[in-house]
Amino acid sequence: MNYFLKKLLEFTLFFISIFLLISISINFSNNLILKNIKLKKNIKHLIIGDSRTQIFDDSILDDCQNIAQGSESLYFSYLKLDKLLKSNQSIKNVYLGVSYHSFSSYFDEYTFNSNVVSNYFFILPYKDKIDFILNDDINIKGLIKNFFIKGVSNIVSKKKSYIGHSYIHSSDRKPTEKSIQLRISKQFTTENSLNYSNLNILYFDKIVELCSKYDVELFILNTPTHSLHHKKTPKKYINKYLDVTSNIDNHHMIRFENILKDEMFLPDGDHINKFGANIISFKLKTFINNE
Amino acid sequence: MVYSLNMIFNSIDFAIFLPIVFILYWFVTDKNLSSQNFLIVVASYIFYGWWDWRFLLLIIFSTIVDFTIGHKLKTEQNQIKRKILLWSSIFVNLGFLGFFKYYNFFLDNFITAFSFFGTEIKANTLNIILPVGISFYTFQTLSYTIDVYKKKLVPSTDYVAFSAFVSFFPQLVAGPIERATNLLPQFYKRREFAYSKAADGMRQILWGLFKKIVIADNCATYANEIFNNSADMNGSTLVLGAIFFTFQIYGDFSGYSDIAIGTSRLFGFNLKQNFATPYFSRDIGEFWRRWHISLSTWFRDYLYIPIGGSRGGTWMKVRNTFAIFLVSGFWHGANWTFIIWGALNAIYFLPLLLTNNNRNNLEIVAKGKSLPSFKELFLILLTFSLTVFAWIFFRADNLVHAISYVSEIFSYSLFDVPNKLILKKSLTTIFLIVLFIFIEWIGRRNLYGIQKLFFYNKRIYRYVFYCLLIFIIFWFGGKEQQFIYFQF
Repeated sequence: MNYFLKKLLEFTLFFISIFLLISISINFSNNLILKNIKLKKNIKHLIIGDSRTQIFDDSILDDCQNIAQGSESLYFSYLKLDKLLKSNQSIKNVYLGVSYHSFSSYFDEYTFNSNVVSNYFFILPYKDKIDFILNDDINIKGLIKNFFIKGVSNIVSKKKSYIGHSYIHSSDRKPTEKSIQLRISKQFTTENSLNYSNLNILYFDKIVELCSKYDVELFILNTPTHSLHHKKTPKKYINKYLDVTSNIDNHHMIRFENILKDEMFLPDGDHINKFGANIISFKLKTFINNE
Repeated sequence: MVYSLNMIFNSIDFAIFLPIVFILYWFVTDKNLSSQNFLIVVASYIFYGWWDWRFLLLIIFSTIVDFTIGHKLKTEQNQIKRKILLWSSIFVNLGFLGFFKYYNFFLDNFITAFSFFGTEIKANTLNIILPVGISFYTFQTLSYTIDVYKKKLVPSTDYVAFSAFVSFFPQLVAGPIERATNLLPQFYKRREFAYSKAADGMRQILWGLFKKIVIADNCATYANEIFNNSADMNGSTLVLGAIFFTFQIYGDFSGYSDIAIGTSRLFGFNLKQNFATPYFSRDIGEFWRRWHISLSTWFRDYLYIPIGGSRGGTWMKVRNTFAIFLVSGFWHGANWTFIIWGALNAIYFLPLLLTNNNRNNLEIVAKGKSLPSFKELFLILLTFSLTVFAWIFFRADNLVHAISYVSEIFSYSLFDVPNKLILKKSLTTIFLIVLFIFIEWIGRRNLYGIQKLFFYNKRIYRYVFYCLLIFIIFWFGGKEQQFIYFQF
């Protein structure tokens, strides 16, 4: 029996050692990559935000790269910008997608989702890494699994899990009042007594400070929504949005929220499809050219 | 790992339960055989009660009935009274099984049959929960009474040992269905801890987890997707779905058996091999000697041989073959799909039996060689294809579903490209299946795939291989699914 337990312990230690060795190697390699991470050459304009912002087609925008990613909170956007502005000094303008839903506490559910966290795990400060691992809301198995999958993928592939890219929705379905109401209920009604995302509000201010530190102009992009979606958005979230962004001058507020009225462009009421993406990307191009 | 209320082998609950029982077994109760057996009974009842404590009443009742009848059979000399005792046991055990598993099936079919002749019968089906593993422990206890009746086995006088035999937790809910003649005597003898046995058990558990979590659960995702949407799929995709199910059911059930046998070895018990690389069989006769061996041999010994076996004329052979396969199909579940599955296997098997070719392939394929000959490969693929076809009926929701599934396969759409999205999504699973077949082929002479793999190499190679398996289980583990055979 003692021999069996000894061998079992020996194998367990061997397994843990291999596990730790691989984990440390992945983390170390990712940190090395991060130190000098480069975007496309001579990028001047950087678009960042969540799935609504992903629709800007950077292939038709000059010297521009869209690094928005689905479910990305402003906390993760800040961490990305912090790394990228350091190593990509050609960036002059940052276009940050911020809409009324950005300051709703429903966003926190995504911040603490193990699939989302694992995309950004390598850009997290060590203290935040530990906090996430110890967080009760995190599926630790999913996080560890994704740590290996995305960690290795970041090393061997040019695509990085935390960078993001343009994504054109090809859906041509039309929204209904019911489907829009469902989206509204999801985005603005939470069981949480806290109605606003303090994390996103805090990191919005930090992004403003960060851009100022690197002498980069920050533009706030409010992406188009269906008129019914806009109408159903609770006023307190619109007021909160105006309050949080009040320090940004009007010139730096790009208000696209009401420019696409036709429902054929907005299949779910708040995400633009490929037809709308084309229009809106040209609108942004005009805006950039007029700068 | 699965977080669930059921203590299934790939659950956190079992991962905690097993080491606790192991430590108590070898460090606390190891000095005394009775207390070791008592611990097994308590652990088994906790394990079984984890599903639903009410099920425990059934298993306890079954244990008391068979123990008492076995005891009476020992002293009773009158042949008629002995027969009455035997049939009492059969009646009680099959009565429970029949009620819980088949009551609604018979009632539905009874009503349908009468309505066919214009008579409407009003009867309500019951909302019956099928006790987990009832088909397995019922057959195990029946084997005890029958063997005692036939005087092949001395009846147990130790109630605790007998209870442990009936409820032994590693094989309680999905087998292997152990014969009393093999397992019961092991409860009478003091178990000594043997390093080689325990290490072998751990290896077999690891391989069982790989089969279940990596092969079966991944295949289940695509098999379910294809079978649940079969009306929208072309013939070639349906073939793919049937192949996924073929590997799902093998990975699922043989994986469970491996974990059960491995766990038993940790406690010093030897259970019989339940699967012996059945998909490398060269004919259906060989397949049935290698698939669910404990059930096949049970039916052979307690049904097929008593009704005449392969003796007698052609009609007798046909009748007996159909009897064993139809009952085997029905044992799996109260659905016509299982009965058709059994009938199909009987049809496959009969030509071999009638031409005396049913025992041609007794040795493992390509013995002493690395690769099979072309003839062997052809026969393996042919047998595999027949098996895949039969599994369609096993998996289908009902006969209409099965027939429409098969009809679409035998249409021109069989020559279309399989659904590209499913094909693309399942590429990793297909790769894992190929890896699995490769390992099973290498280890086909052994009791399980990895038993001797790297066994004679330096320890470091073995450890690296086991670590790799654990990583694959963790990394590529599919979405958790209940073990298929729990429903039987």
